[in-house]
Amino acid sequence: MSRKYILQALFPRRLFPRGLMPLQANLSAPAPQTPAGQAGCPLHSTRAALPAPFRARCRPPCPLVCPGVPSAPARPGCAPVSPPPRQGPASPRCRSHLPVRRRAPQRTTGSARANNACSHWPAAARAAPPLAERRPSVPGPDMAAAGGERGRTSFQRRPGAGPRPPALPGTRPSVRHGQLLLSSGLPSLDCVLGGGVAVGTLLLIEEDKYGLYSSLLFKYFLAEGIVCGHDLFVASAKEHPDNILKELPAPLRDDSYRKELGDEAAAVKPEDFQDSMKIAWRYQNLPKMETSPTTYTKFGHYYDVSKKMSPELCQSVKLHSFYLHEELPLEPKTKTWNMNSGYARLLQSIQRIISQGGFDGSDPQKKQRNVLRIGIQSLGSILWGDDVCCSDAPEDPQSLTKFLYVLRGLLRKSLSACIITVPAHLIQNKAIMERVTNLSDMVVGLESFIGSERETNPLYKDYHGLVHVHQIPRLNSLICDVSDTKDLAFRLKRKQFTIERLHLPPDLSDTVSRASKQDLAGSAELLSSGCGAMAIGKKHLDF
Amino acid sequence: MFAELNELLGASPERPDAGKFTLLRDTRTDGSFLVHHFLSFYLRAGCKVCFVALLQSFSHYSIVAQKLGVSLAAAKERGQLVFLEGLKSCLDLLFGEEEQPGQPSPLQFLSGSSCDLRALFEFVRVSLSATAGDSWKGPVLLVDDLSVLLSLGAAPVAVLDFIHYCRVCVCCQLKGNIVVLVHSNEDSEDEENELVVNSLCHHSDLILWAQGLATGFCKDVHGQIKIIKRLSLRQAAEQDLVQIYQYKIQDRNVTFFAPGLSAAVL
Repeated sequence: MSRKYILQALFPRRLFPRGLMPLQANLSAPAPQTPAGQAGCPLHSTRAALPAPFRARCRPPCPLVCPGVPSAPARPGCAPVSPPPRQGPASPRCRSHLPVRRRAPQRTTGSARANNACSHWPAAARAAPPLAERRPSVPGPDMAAAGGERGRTSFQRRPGAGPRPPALPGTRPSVRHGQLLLSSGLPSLDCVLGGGVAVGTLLLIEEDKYGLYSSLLFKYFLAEGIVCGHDLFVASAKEHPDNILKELPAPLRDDSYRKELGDEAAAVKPEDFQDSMKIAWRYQNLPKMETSPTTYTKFGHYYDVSKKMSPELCQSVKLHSFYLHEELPLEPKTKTWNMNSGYARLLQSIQRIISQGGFDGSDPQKKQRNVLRIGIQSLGSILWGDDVCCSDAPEDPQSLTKFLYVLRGLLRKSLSACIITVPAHLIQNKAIMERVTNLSDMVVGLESFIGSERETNPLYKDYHGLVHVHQIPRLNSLICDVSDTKDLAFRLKRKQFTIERLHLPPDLSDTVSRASKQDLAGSAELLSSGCGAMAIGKKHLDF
Repeated sequence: MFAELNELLGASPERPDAGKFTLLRDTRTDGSFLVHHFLSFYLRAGCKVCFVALLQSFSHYSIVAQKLGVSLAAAKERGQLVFLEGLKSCLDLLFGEEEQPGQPSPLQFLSGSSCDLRALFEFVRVSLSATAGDSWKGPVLLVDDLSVLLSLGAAPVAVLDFIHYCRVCVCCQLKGNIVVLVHSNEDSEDEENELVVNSLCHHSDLILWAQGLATGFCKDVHGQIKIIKRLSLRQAAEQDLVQIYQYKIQDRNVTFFAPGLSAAVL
């Protein structure tokens, strides 16, 4: 009450449109049954406590201006800011500054604002009684409806003219560089990567030691493609692509709950729909259901790793799979480009799909476009016939980098995005990994705590591993979207895998011994060197 | 073109140098902003530019150049810019039809018939050699990421040969300039790359070495740049002039400042 009063005192009353006043009267004034002269109203006490300049701006007590009216809220023009009159010791003071009020319009001195406010009051007070006669005292639904009638001409949205769905499902343009972005299937990873995976780029995941979490990311990426209706290309040398697709996590969607509740709701709906209470009239013309399916408008979904995606959903998209051991050997006349034959076959397969499936961005005549999501599992492992993982000086070190270069070319000219997992910890020759990093767009490394001493470290007790973002692309701009923090960790909850900012756990116990605190400090150092692999800050400070 | 970098280098687009070999080197960071600088600088200066872009697509360079006030498409139409898009020509080579024997692809070495970079050099020579009727100043060869050639299977010696041939042709015969970007890491085990970088460092007139901060990522300082003017290359008695600045990359510009004088500190 008192806050409202101060607000009204600070802002000239004519800022409020007339139509609003009856509403305010109902809210702020006491009920009509209240005797007009009830004392002890908090409004008044506030007003008395206000400093003099404020009081000068406040309106005069109502009963003295229009003494014939019994109850304040009956007069909409007067009531909203008019407190009930006071009785007893305070009333003489009210009356005493009333003459000032009366004189106010004639006064030429005083601040402009006070003048404005004062000159407004008598007009309102004079206008009050006729208003009270003309208008109903309580704002009824008819008034709101009238407002709605008027509003319909200018404000109503045509039913069909909602936000236009993007040309491609599951994409959105980047704010920074205008490139279309796809979600990686993990909103927290999208955030780290600057909004998502841009179309035409390559996301390289460095596998964790046992490949547990990287395969989750891989599946998230594919599951997002299925939910968005993208075409998939899955290549593997280890697991059969069909098996990978059987293991995809089920999407967590709001409408799955709705579907479950839907049957009961449908049974109840028809009979009591007619006389159901109207809460907001302005919404009655809006469509009851979303016209476009949520999958098309939404960017990034959450998945439940404890459930598997239903086979019907999996079969709703076009799937291309490449299983190395089932592929036919290359015909002798095809070029092998001095490359490992597995990679060469994979490239030819991708190229064929891109050119035949209409994902080629360079030919504009295709009418219906879609996005191709390419997933390649454990590239560079020995199952691909590559020996970079088993020897320090591999026979053919350029195969992998050549493959990535050609793949980069294919991706850049097509409407596709690619995720590759690489067993980086197995690649002995660090030079190869450096070159691989240079040739991919985004590089994210996963380091799980399984089997390392960090597993039992109290510092990391909330997390299952660390995330190292090695590279973020600079697309169409000089700068790249680097997230503020480099200290990221991941955690596999019961249903979800998330990437979070790494922070220290709160120190809850009072009796932490000094020794264990030093342990923590030591491991914090270890953490900073682990996260910023480049940090050699012990030697000097840059600035 | 970043005006501050021009001031630091004492260069202006009105009178570009002639016969200089500039090495752009990046360590733990991305030095591509220097490539964008030199591309727009030489196009503004009215030089004929041959840009061998191995790492990114044409549209990427074109959009960034537009932000810097230069239109690559227009320059291409004028004949000022010859753009070799490595990603595209490698696809043409690998998936395209059989090429005519008379016109080998610049990236011929990929398909394995020969391991040297002769075709690439021929491409550079032909595109930069003066033809009657154009009035461009000095020819410029710009290579974005020479390290990619190593990744594609070129031997380090072949890369050095290629650069040597280009220097003789562009710098000495045509009085032009060469700007080349390489990646390098001091602690990397990439011996081939180190070999190329070290020998290029010995031959270059100017080295711009962009380094990520040793203390890690910072929002207001993106790295430091070491400008090495190789005075010793021309006159044996002189010492190399080394300047170190820190820089911050913005949307359309890069600001350079003395170490420790970033906006974050002051």
